[in-house]
Amino acid sequence: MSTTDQETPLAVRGALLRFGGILALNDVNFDVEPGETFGIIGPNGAGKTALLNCVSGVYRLTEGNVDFFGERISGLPPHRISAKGLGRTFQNMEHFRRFKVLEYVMLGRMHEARASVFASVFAWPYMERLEREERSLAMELLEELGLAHLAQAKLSDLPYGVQKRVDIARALLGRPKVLLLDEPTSGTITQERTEVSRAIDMVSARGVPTVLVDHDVDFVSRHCARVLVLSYGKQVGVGSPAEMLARPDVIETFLGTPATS
Amino acid sequence: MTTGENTLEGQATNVEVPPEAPASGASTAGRPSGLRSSKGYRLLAPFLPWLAGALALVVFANTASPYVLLISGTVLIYAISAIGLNVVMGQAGLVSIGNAALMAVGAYTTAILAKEESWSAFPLPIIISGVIGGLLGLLIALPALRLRGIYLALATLALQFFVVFAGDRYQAESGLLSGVPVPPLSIGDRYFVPGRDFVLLLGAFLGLTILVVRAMSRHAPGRMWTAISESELAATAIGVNAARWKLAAFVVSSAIIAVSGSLFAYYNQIVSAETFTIEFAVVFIIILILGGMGTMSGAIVGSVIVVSLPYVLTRLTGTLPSDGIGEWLSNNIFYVNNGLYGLLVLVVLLYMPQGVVPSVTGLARRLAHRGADQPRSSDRPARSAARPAVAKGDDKPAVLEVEDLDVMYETGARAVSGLHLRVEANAIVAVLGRNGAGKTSTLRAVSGFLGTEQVRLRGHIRLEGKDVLGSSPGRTAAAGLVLVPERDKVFPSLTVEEHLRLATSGDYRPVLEKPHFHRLRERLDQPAGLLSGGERQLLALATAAMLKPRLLMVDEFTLGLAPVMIQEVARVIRGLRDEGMTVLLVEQNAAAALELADHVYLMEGGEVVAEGTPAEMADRVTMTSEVTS
Amino acid sequence: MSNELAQALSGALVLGSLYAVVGIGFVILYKATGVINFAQGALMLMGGFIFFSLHESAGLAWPLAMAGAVLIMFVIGALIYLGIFRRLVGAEEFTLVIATLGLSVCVLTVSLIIWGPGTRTLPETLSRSELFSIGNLGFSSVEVFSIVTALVVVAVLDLALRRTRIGIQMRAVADGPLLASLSRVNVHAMSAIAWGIASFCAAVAGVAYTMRLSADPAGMHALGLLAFPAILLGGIDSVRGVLVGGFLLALAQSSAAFLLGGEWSEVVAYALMLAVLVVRPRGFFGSRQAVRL
Ligand SMILES: Nc1ncnc2c1ncn2[C@@H]1O[C@H](COP(=O)(O)OP(=O)(O)OP(=O)(O)O)[C@@H](O)[C@H]1O
Ligand SMILES: [Mg+2]
Repeated sequence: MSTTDQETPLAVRGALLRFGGILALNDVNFDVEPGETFGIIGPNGAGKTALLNCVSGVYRLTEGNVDFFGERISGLPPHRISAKGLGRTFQNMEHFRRFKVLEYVMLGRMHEARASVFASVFAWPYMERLEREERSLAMELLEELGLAHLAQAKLSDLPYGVQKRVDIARALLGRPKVLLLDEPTSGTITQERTEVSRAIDMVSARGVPTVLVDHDVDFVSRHCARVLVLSYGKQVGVGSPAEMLARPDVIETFLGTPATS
Repeated sequence: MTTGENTLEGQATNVEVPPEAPASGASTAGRPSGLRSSKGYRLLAPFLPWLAGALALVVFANTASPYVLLISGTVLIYAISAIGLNVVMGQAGLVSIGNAALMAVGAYTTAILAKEESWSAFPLPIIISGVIGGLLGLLIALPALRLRGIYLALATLALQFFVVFAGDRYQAESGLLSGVPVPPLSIGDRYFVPGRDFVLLLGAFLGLTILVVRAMSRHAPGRMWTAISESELAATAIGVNAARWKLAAFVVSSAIIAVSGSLFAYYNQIVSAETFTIEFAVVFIIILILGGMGTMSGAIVGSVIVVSLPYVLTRLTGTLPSDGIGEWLSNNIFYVNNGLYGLLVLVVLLYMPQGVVPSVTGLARRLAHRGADQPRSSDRPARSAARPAVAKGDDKPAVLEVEDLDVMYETGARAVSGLHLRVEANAIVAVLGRNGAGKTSTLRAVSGFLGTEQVRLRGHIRLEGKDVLGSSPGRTAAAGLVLVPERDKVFPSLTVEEHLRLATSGDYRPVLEKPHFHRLRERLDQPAGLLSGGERQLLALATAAMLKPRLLMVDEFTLGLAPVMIQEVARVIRGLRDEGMTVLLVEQNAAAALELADHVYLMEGGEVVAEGTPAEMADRVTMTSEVTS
Repeated sequence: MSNELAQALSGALVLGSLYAVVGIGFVILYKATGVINFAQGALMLMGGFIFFSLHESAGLAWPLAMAGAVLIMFVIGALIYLGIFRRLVGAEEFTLVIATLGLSVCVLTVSLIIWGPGTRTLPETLSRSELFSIGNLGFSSVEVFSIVTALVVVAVLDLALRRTRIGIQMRAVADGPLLASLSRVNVHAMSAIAWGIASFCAAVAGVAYTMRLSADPAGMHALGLLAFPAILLGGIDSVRGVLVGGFLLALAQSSAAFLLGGEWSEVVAYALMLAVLVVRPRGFFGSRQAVRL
């Protein structure tokens, strides 16, 4: 199968993912266009996170493939995909606890290619300068996101919603070419949500396409011109948020009808 | 280990804490300017600790008695070895019991090379030992790429058996059963025997080791290692090449340990397989634990304690009267000396879980903090006195009554202060507030902390009239309280079915009949750790409800749920209330909470700032914590 | 089949059963509390010596001495939890491993101070001469006793854990002690029982060892260490795996001793473990960690 053209940041073709008897993804197809913020919504367990995991190489697709600017990335190990410029955040931040916020954010800076134990020892002054630069870049970003005062706090001491914003900062620091966000607004109040919004706007302003998974339909509608609806592994459709959210099947499985009691 | 949240205020004070000692790799960002920004100081500052250290060592080496110097040499060698081990264990989080084997490799290499005319010149044997150690590290790392945790630890234990076996054979074949002799270390025509000069030389080696390890751990490599030690899976997902950095950790660490083994050979002038036992390997793990895992100063302090303790004890025994305890002790001194390490480890783990060095610095920090804390605690009683006493209602006590609650974390951060809260029977009460307002800490305080979580509590928490402040989670659970926490809400390796069976000895199937819970029915055999975020939330809520608590507390029931699920769960919670359950919710999602609750509290900065019915609170909530979209 | 080979084989069966009993205590403790217990060998030694003292010094008949020893060790195990590990609930896995290393040193020291480092030989309890033979594979009563006891202990514990809710409750404690206590699992009771069982199993192995050979501190300590490869071969959280791992390891060791000489047996044991782990990182039956992103 040929790859898609180089203009398309992300193209997913015929994605199928199986866990034992469960079909977590069943023939999912979509393109993310340059500069757009592309939404993915769907009920719990629909396969949204699984899809992001497949794109970032954490899960391996059973069938189908993923192209990143025309280059096939499905099958590569996650760190190689990340090095190509794919950034992502986590739905759950349970994995990292001991990190200080600033150190964690600096982890996002993929200067890994230049880092090595030998460089640190034998090119100490150079690496030290690099480190200082990285540090101030990270601080600037934290400042922009209103998190600077937490730079030295331990991750596990922070509330869920704040952790999620720190995670976004980490992903942003890597200056990704495509960014995947998994439920960035969960655990935040509206006011904090505007800060997440600002981060997304910041990314779009740079022309970086973003894939946004979220359960807050207002938030998704505000940022995305197009959304993909997944339901239990199957692709319900791709379209404008208004159009998709009006569909009866989407209302039944995902949106529901607010109680009128 | 503390879970929960700190107030934003608390965090702000955190930042003012002076940066840690440079050795532990603390950042220098945000350091206040002033004297420190003067150019001369900035240039000199990094060297000051080194100069001081070197000076102290020189003074020490010239004044200490030969006996003390003899012991100090061993301390320095152990410290180098422990720092090497710390790279793998403290930083990359990979347990290794291969320390003795690696030292043995360095020691044998040196013993063999030192005999050869053309290879024995300083520092050739030491360097070659290091290189061979590094190569061996590479070899160990290969299984390490696939093995985790204890599997890896025991793979390194295998190395121990192989090396000792090889060493034994070598000694047997070359007829050196009592050990391979090593000629003394010489530089030019200067010979080094244990004593002042050797101690200075070892000090230089230790300095070099610290320099090298510090260079790595302060930069990207240190961060990569921390990431791997936290979660290899997540680290890979954000771009860390786990295989590469694990290899690096093993190579660096093994090389350093082998160098220490080489020095060890020169110092003792004999190498024997009998020295490098498993107990010897464990000694270095003990050193790290005693001093404090992950810090180099800890490795040094640990070495001092572990090496000198037997000598000190033996001396002490000599001063005791030679009957009764004294006699017993001198008869058993050999065992007691060995057993003391074990006892010491347990004592440290129980009373200073972070190790000696971090515990001492932590204590100092807390003391410093107490000063800053004082004004707040002193003005608190005045304010709470001014506050009208909460209406006691009729004689039946509320299900939950919280009065004047303070929650403080070990960092000195105050998460909750002077909190009042009341949950009447058969009501749904919601606590709203932004992230960091102290909501989670409140719930955790009510349900109780584990002994390992260092938290200080003050005030009253009454469950149906009984004060439960400071009770363990087990106690409060037995008293009829169930909490669905914000994270770690399911048991990762138990399947969905096992969760349900854990919650009830009866039939669990009716729960799965609810409209949107059928998802769980299809996942009965799946370990909960593999469920999606929302599925986990559902499972946690379902099992909590099945426990039929008197008071159900949920930290963010809407977290990660799709809109349709939120409606469904809200219906379920209402149903539970109708069946007689009392519910306390903590929420960010104000809309969902206002619709569900009978009574609403608004928290900010660790205090309740308003309360009322949802209707009364709707405006207030939108004004202070919500901006309507 | 030569006589020596037959002897090596029957020896392997007995050794394997010892590994299995020590190992199952380890596995149960791990499944119930998440603690990787390095003190299993030391506890075995202590159990063997208590048996020796009860039988030899206190003059109890051997079945009584055995019952006494394993019960005392059960209690000691529970006390170890209540005195030490209860206060470490919720600590990191790593801390717990180190604590058991400390414990191991302490138990060993106490045993050596009380009983001294020498080997003590018991007069014959059960006959050490051949009871029956299959082909020319001969077994003495004491060997049969050792093997049968091991199988019974493993089978009973395996059933008890799989058929009752206690098994689930124990695994819940290991997965998350905080969540477990929030879910009304009695964390302390479960853990104390698990520690009791671990120590009990170690004692059973210690008694069997002492009955067949002697109360030999060095030998029992070494056996405790060799139980590790056996456990890992089977998979650290698999009760049935430990049986397979135990016998496989013992077989490999005996064949190595037979073919290459006794000094090779430890090296071969660990080499076998490495070889299997490289192919199967979680041993034969160990379960995968249930983590995802
Ligand atoms: N590693 C895995 N092993 C087994 N099943 C898995 C695994 N990962 C995901 N699944 C299953 O695949 C389905 C999709 O999971 P996924 O995490 O993608 O859901 P989601 O759409 O992100 O849901 P949520 O909104 O709740 O986060 C779920 O039913 C989940 O149980
Ligand atoms: Mg998800």
